[in-house]
Amino acid sequence: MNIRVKFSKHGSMKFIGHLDIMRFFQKAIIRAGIDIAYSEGFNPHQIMSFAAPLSVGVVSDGEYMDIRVKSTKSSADSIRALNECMVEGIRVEDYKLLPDNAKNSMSIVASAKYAIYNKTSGVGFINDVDYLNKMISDYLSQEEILITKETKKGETTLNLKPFIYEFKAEVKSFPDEEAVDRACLIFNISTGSLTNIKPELLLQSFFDYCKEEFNENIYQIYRLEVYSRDESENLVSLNDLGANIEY
Amino acid sequence: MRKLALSDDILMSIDKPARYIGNEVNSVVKDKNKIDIRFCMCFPDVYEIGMSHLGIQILYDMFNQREDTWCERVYSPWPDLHKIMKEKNIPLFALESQDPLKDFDFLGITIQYEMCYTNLLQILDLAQVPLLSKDRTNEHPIVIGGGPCTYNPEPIADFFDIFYIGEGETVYDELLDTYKKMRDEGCDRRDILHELAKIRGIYVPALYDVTYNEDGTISSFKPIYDDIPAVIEKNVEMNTSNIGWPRKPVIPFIKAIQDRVTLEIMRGCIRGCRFCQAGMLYRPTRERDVNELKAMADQMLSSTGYDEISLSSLSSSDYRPLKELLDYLIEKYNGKGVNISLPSLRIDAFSLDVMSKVQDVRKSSLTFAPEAGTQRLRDVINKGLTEEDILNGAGLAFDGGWQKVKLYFMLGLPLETEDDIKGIPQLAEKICRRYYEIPKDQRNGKCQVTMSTSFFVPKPFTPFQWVKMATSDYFIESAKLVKATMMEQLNKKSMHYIWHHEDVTILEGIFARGDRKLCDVILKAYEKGQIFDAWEEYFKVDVWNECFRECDVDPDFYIFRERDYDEILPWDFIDAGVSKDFLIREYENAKKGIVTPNCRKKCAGCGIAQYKGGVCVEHKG
Ligand code: SF4
Repeated sequence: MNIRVKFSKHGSMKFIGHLDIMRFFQKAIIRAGIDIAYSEGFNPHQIMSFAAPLSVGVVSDGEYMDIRVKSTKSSADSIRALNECMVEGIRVEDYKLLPDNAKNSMSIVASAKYAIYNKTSGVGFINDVDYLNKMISDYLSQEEILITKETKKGETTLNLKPFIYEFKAEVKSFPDEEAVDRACLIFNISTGSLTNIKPELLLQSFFDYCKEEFNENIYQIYRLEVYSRDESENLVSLNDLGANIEY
Repeated sequence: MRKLALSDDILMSIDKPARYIGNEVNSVVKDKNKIDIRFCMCFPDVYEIGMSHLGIQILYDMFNQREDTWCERVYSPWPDLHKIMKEKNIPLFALESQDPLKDFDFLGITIQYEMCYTNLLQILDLAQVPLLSKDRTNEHPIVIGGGPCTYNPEPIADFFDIFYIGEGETVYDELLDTYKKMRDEGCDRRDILHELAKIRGIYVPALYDVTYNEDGTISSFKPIYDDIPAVIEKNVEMNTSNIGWPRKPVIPFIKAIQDRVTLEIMRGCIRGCRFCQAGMLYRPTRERDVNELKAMADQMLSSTGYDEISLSSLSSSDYRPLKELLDYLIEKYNGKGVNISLPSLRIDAFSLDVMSKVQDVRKSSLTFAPEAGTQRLRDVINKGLTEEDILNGAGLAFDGGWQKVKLYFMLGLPLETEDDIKGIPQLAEKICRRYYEIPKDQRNGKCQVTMSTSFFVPKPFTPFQWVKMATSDYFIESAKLVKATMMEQLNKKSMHYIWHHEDVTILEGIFARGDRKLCDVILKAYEKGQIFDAWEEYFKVDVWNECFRECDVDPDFYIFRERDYDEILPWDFIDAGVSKDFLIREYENAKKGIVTPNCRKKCAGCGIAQYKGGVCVEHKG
C-alpha cells in the first residue's frame, strides 16, 4: 500500500535541510510504529520518497512524503501516532492511501504556490497591497518576461511568463509571526522535473522590474501547497490524489 | 514558538545552522520557573563530534531525572560562527532554552582529549565568563571539568573551579544538593567551593598550593585547608546496574559521527596493555548484566528509531556473555531494518561467523591492533596478541571470503628498535602471503592490507608515565622507514600505509604530562587565536612555539626527559586506584620483556582490588 503523508515545516525547523528531514522521518516512522516496507538487499532501507525538496530557510504547509507500508491503521490514528513523534515546528497534517496506479509524488509535481512577506513588518518592499497589485499587473502584461537561468550547461535565457500560473498581493496572517496580518505576495509557479522555477527566480525578476533590491535576508518565503495536473490539465493539490483511511 | 538566540541572517550565513538551534528529538525542555539548578553540559568540539559522545548523553539523562535540575547542552561554535559572535558580542547559549550560559548555575565540560584545551577557553570566552577561576564571582556559573583528561588536570587548572575525578554516576547528587543548599543560604562562592572540595573525587585547584624545585620539578603539592583531602580518590560506580545509560538518547538532525545507538557493555579492560591509559583508569573491569543490556538495546532502539546499534567497550571479546547478547540482537533485529555494527572483536571462528551474518563480507574489513611490529616489542607493551593469532585469524577470514585487513600500530614506543619498525610491513607481508596461498580461482583478486601508525604519547597512570617521549624527527624518520621497508616487500602492491601528523602528537605529549605552568601557554595560544587544534587545518605549530617562548616555558621539560621514580608527578595527588608500586613493577617488567597475564588469568595486584568488585572478585565467586 502506498501512503502519501502531508506535513508542515515551521519555526526553527526551516534550518533543517531536505536530507536531514528525510532522516528525521525515517526514525519517526519507526517510533510511531508505522508498518513501513523495506527494500530488498543486504542493507534494506525504507521505501520512501519526497516531493519537491524545500530550500533551507523556507517554511511550508505543503510538504509531501510517499511511503510504502505493509499494513496500516486509520488515517486519524496514524496522524496521531506520527504527531506524537514530531518536534516543535513539524506537524503531520494528512495521511492518505493512494490508488494502486498512483505515480510517485516526486514525478508528478507540476507547480507550487508560495507566499513571501517582510520578516520584520515595515522593513522591506512588501507593504502596500494596492501598489503591489498594480505592479504585478504591469509586470504580467509584458509580452515576455525574460530571465537568465543557471543550468548545468551554463546560462540560458528563459521566458518566465508561461510558467507563472497565479500572482497577486494580499493581506494574510502567518503562523511563524506574531498574530498581526501582513502584506504578502502570493504566486503559483511551475515546479518539478519539467520546468523548475525557484521562487527566488521570479522574485528577483519582479523586484528588478519594480526597481527594488531583492535582499533575501529580510523576506520570509513560505510554501503553501504543491500541485500536480489531472487528466484535464487542471492543477490539483497532491493531497487530493489520495483518500482517507477509515476503519 | 521558541525564540532562537541567533538571528535568521546569521543562521543563513553559516555552515550547518542545525548545530545551533536545538529542538532535537528527545532533547529535554523544562519550565525554567520550576527549576532550582540550571546545568549546561558541554563537549568542547564541533556539534557532530560532541553529539556522538555517549558520556554526555548518560549525564544528560541522569541530571534531567532530577526534578529540580534542568540539564542542557552546548558544543563549540565552528570558527565561522565564532567570528560573528565575537564581532557582535553575542553570548554563547544553551541549545534547549537558547539562554546565555553565563546565567546558569553550572557549566560542566567533558574533556576527552588534550587537543581541545584552547576550545575550553573559547567556550568560556564566548559565554562571557571570566577565563580564570580566580576572576569569577557569585554571579558566574561554577565551571566543572570531567572526563579522562582530568586525571591530570594541572595544565588547565586555572580555568576550572572544580574537577570531578572519575565516573559521573556517583557523587553528582551530593554535589548538586550541597550547592543548592549553600546558594540558597546566601553563601559565598569561595565557601561553596571549599565545602564541595570535601566530597569524594572533587578537586578544587584553587585550594591546593604547588611549590617547585629549582629544576622545575614539583617540591610540594598541598591543600591550603586541613579539612580537605590531600589525595583525591577517583569515583567508580561498582554496582553495574547503576551505571547510567541514556533511556532516550538525543537524536541530532544532522548526521553525527556516531549516527546510531551505542550500547556500553562493559567498563574497563582486563588486558593491562602498558601504553593504554583507559585500561588503567577504568579498572576494575565490570561487565553489565546481559539481560539488562537486552532491555536497554530494545528501549534505546524504540525511543530513537535508529537503524543501527553498536556495542561499546574497551575489549568486547572479553565480555563473557557476548555470544548470548549478539544472538539476541541478530535474532531480533538483523534484516529487519536495524544494522548491528560490531566493535573490533578478536578475529576467530566465532567473530567471523557473527560478522558474516551482519555485514557484507566483501566490503567489510578485518581489524587487528598488534600495536608493535615484533613479538619482542609486543611483550614490552604487554600486548597479548601473537603473530600466530594474527595469521590464523586472517587466514580463517580469507578462507571465508574477506580480502581487506586493517592493522594498527604505534611508533615511538619505549625500547623500540629499527627491527621493530621494519617488523610492521614485514608482518603485513606475511598476511599477504597467507592470502595468496588461496588458489587463484578461489580468491577475488588482490587483498588489501592497510597499516596505520600513530605516534606513542606517554600518559599519566600508565607504566610508561616516566618515559622520555620520541622526538618529532624520530617520528618522521620511523614513518619513512616503515614506508621504505614496505617498498621492499614482495606484495607491496597489496599494501597501503597511513600515518598521522607528528606536530600535534608532540603538543599532546606536553599537555598529557604537564603541570600548572602550562596554563599560561594555553591562555596565550587562545589569545593568539588558536581554537580547534584537534583539526589539522587549524593547528599551527609556529604559534604554539611562539607561546612557549613568550611564556618562558620549556616544552622539552615535559616530554624529552626520563623522570625518576621518586619525582613528584603533577598528577600524584590523584588516586586512580592503581598503585604506584604496580606501575613501577610493570615498567620494570616492560624493560625485561616480561609479560603480565590478564586479570582473569591471574591478578597482578594492581591495587584496584580495594574496590571489591568487577573482575577482581569474579573468580572468587
Ligand atoms: S586487582 Fe588484580 S584483578 Fe583487579 S584489576 Fe587489578 S590486576 Fe586486575
